[in-house]
Amino acid sequence: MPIHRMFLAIFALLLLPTGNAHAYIDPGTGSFIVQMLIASILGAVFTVKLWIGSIKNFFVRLVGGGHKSETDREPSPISDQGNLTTHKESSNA
Amino acid sequence: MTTTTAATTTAATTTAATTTLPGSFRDPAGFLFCRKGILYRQINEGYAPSYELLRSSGLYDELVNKKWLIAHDEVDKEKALTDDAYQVIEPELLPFISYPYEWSFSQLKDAARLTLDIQEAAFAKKLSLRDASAYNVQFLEGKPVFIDTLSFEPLVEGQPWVAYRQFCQHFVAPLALMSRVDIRLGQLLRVHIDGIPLDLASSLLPAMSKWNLSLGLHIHMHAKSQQKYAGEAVEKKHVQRKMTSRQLLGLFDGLRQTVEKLQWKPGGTEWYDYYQANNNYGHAGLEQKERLIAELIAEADPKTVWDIGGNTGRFSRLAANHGAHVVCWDIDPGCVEANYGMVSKHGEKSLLPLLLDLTNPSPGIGWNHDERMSLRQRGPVDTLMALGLIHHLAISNNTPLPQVARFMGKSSTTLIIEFVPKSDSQVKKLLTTREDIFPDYSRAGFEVAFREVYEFIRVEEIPGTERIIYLMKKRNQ
Repeated sequence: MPIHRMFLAIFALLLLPTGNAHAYIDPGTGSFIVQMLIASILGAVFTVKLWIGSIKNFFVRLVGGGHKSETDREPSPISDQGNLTTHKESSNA
Repeated sequence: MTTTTAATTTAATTTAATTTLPGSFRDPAGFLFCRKGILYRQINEGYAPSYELLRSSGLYDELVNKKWLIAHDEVDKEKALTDDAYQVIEPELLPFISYPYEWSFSQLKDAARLTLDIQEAAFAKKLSLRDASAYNVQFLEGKPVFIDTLSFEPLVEGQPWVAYRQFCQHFVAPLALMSRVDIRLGQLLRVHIDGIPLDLASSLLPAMSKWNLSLGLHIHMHAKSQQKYAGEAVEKKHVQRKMTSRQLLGLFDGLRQTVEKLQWKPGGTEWYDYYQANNNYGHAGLEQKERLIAELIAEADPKTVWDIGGNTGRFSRLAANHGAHVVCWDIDPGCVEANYGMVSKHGEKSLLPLLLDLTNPSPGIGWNHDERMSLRQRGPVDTLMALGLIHHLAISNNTPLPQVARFMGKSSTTLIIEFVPKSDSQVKKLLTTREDIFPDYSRAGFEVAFREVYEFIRVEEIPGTERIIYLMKKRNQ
């Protein structure tokens, strides 16, 4: 979702008055749609956290003379494209 | 969708020694049933691909090895109840079934952590949880364990997490309300069986919490989105957008941060520091009482114990050390929280602290009163312990002693009970501001009432106090 539309959507949702809970009829649709929006925000936050982690690791390696840090040993669950890394030992094996 | 003790048969569908458990009726993937005292779960044909993926991906083994998921054995398919069975499994039995409205803050938080741990482990193996109900978590050997083997489904890339709403309702909303407003709001889970409605949580939380990123997104904005789209036709393009794996991982990470940041510390609740600040024994007296209770427990030799009004579990631990599985019930969320903290810290395996107001115990709730069991349906136990409790039931709650005796008789075979006379300072305190309308509340009145239900095995006066401790055995009726 483009960033300006994301902010528009958040702004619109926060401005909505808190009324009676028609959500009892079908809370699923609203949850589904808001999850897209929330995941866009948290996905971006997560990416920034990964960058910060990489930068930290770079300096830790620089100072530590090539010793691998704790986070370095953890395999990253995602590839650069933001997709799952293939788990070859799983059902495809 | 609940694994339970094999003894649980009440209010279930019964056909010739086979009982279908009512808690799993909603799930098309399978159901639980009990035959000849053994609990089975039937897996239906429709769920076969998901079950096979759970096994072949290695996820089942990983989760069972970590003790995150209840283990099971595959048994002869002949045991199936209906023709559409794919497999029949026999899950490991739990000593006791508890519910989220009986948990302390940290028990609910640990259940939330476990649900996220499992979702992330599943995601890494291209599976996903299709529900995130707090009822899918139970406590085994002091730790939370996921009990719904049929909750896993293949991950559909690009799709949102179908259980997100449920996770917010079952975990984020109650934890936020307990942490930010009042610990007692956890009891809303008893009214709302599918978790606390988010618009309700949003209206109860402080207005400032809207500006907290976590609560602002997962509760307030989520609730408003539910309201906006309830009953409104939505354009297809809105629901056809894809989510990347990184967005989903960001969502799981965000939920985890939300759960971790929510804190609640006991202290200042009514009974939390009772033994330190306010009891009738003193240090030496307490030790003497402990020795006596340990002796009575050894004489009763129970396998299962409920310690009602058990405070932070001082006497429960005596029964646990004897080898019994003990549920320590208390009305004070601070006591249950502190007790669970000790269980976690010391890795205690046979003590389960739970929250209960005995004057209004957990009822059977859900469809047909059957989905979640009442307190009584989960008993009886071998031994009931009721120490320093009787005056609260008889005087604070105006319950006649014969009724207390009958309740206890329905819940246990043996009883270890302390009688606290009117001359005791704790009872005097209760009677300070009220009329004494309890003429039968005396040692003699107590013994007459309890002899109707029990025979007395031991009667021990505690030196230095006016209290008396009894070991009783239920009469054969």
